[in-house]
Amino acid sequence: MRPMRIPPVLSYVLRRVAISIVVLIGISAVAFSMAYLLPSDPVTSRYPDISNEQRAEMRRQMGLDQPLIVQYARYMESVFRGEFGRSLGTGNSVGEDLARRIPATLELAVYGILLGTALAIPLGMFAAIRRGRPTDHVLRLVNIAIQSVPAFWLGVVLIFVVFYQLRWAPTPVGRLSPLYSPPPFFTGFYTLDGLLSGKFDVALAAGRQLILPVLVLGLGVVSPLARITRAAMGESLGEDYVTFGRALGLRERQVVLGDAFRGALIPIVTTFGFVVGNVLAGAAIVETVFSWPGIGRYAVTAITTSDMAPVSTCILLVASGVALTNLLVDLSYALIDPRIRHGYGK
Amino acid sequence: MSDPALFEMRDLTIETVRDGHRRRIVEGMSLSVRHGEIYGLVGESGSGKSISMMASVGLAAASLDITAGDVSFAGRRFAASDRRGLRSNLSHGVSLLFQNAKGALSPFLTTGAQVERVLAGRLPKSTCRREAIELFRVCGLNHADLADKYPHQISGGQAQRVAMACALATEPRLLIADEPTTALDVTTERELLRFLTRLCRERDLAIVLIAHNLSLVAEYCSGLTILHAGQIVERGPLASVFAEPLHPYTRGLIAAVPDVDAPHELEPLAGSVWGGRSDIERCRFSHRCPFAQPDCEAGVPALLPRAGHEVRCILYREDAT
Ligand code: SF4
Repeated sequence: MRPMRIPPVLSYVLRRVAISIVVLIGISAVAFSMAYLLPSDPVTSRYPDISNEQRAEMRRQMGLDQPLIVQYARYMESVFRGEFGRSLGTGNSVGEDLARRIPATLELAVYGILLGTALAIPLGMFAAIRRGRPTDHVLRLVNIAIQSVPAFWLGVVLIFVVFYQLRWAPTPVGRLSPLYSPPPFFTGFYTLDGLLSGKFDVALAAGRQLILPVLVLGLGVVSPLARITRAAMGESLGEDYVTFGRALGLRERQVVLGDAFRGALIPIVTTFGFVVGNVLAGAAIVETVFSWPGIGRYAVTAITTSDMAPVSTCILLVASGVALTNLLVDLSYALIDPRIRHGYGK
Repeated sequence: MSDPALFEMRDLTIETVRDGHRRRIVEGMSLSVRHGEIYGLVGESGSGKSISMMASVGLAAASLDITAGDVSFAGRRFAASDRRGLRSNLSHGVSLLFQNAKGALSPFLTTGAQVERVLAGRLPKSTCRREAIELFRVCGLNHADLADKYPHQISGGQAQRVAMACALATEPRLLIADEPTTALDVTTERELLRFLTRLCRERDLAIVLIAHNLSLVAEYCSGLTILHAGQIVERGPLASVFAEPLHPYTRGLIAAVPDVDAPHELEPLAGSVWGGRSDIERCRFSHRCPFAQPDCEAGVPALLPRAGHEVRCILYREDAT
């Protein structure tokens, strides 16, 4: 009988997941200590006018008088129960709060990343094909311009111009204007859920709310992705296999999209991994500017009110998102390049 | 030789700007190949042999200016600067082989899929598989063994044969083989060249064999052109050139081939390739030439017919003593 063999890719994934869990526990400890060390005090910031005795009593009730290690242990216990501590601001468990807010951020982030990628990759490819010619230089200037615009500024300007002046965009009041009620939950994306439940007016209204924040978030993605696409494509277009493909009379589209783009994909996907991290960070700003009820704004509110459990949990969440993205990026290498795929076996 | 040429390159000139100087890296290059002929193009690296052949199929790097010349293939004539027109020949009877076959095959497709994708350009999809199996067989490869492998999983010799199967899938009548065996060991090299020769006979395929190795050309080609620093220095039928090599460069090369069976490279000649400034007009070999004299610097010597072939050297001028 042959011993059961775990496929190399699977054992690689399991190893990575195990490492990630250790790293995340470490991050949770650091995040919790940082939240604890915030200079403001959660009780004072909420009840500025109470007496010292009352304050001490409140701190005791909230468990804030315990040593850091005990507080952390309590927090971790609650993490493994899926509650992730309790928010002093909302009074709910952080898990509940996040469950409501994650879809809002995801809808924003997914559309933003899709838009940014859909702009960046063709731009970068086009620049690589036209390398050194006027189109390339114009695209580079556009890229620098996009890169140098900060998200909060662009958000405010867009609200001012497109909403106040032109009246093209709806009032930036979050995911949905109060005239509509949210669609039933399927995916958590109001646009998709609206379509799935046949409430097309809701889907449209949700889509209109998304336009400006998605634009701001998406533009933040364009610059790094376009730059790496241009560089990587520029290199792969010079590979022998591209010349040979052309020499065989293959169509230019086959050579450029099939071989050259695939040859450039590994650095592009790597950068894409970084970009997802940036988007999650950028979401905090964009959500604040556009009153978007997502985790970014939740985290900002928690930080400003020294709400420790939500702060730690948001950091943990973003770290998990980044770890997961990196794992997916690594695995995609094997899909992209058979040489790496065969390397797993060794 | 009433037979009209299958492929003809006339007066190709390629320039580029390097280090602030305009350099003519290929000048007045001409080449004519008949149906089913194996023609040798010899020169050291940097002599312009690969560049001119790449330019003849519209695949020269974009940074190169093709300033003069035209190319005709099977009766269709294009200006050498018309890259798009020249590239159209690639799906109509001209194909290429490269030195580095492993790098020339796409790393992302199995060898079988690469051959089939070329076939799909001109055959209905249903017959591609059958035709690919046949091409593998023709190229001496076992389809069942190799078709599902990726280029990184096969040997260099196998990769060159897969590349050949890809090239044959375009039904070429002219194959431009750019040092196809340089990366291979001597035994594999011989096998491959013998195979190419057989293909020529069986399929009426003409080959331009680009080589830096004169002994290969001596063994397989019927005619040859020797390039030095972007200029033809000597050309003609193989027998005539070998019987009476005229140009000092050719003589140096032949002297450096003591035994046809032992491949020799062109290194033994002293000095490096001429730097190529287009504003300097003189014999480009003069700094390496044992016979150089003041007249050699007076201008570019003309290509003169002598002893059944042509040579570019003032020693063979009518008025030379
Ligand atoms: S022209 Fe002069 S320098 Fe040039 S090859 Fe002839 S003899 Fe030598």
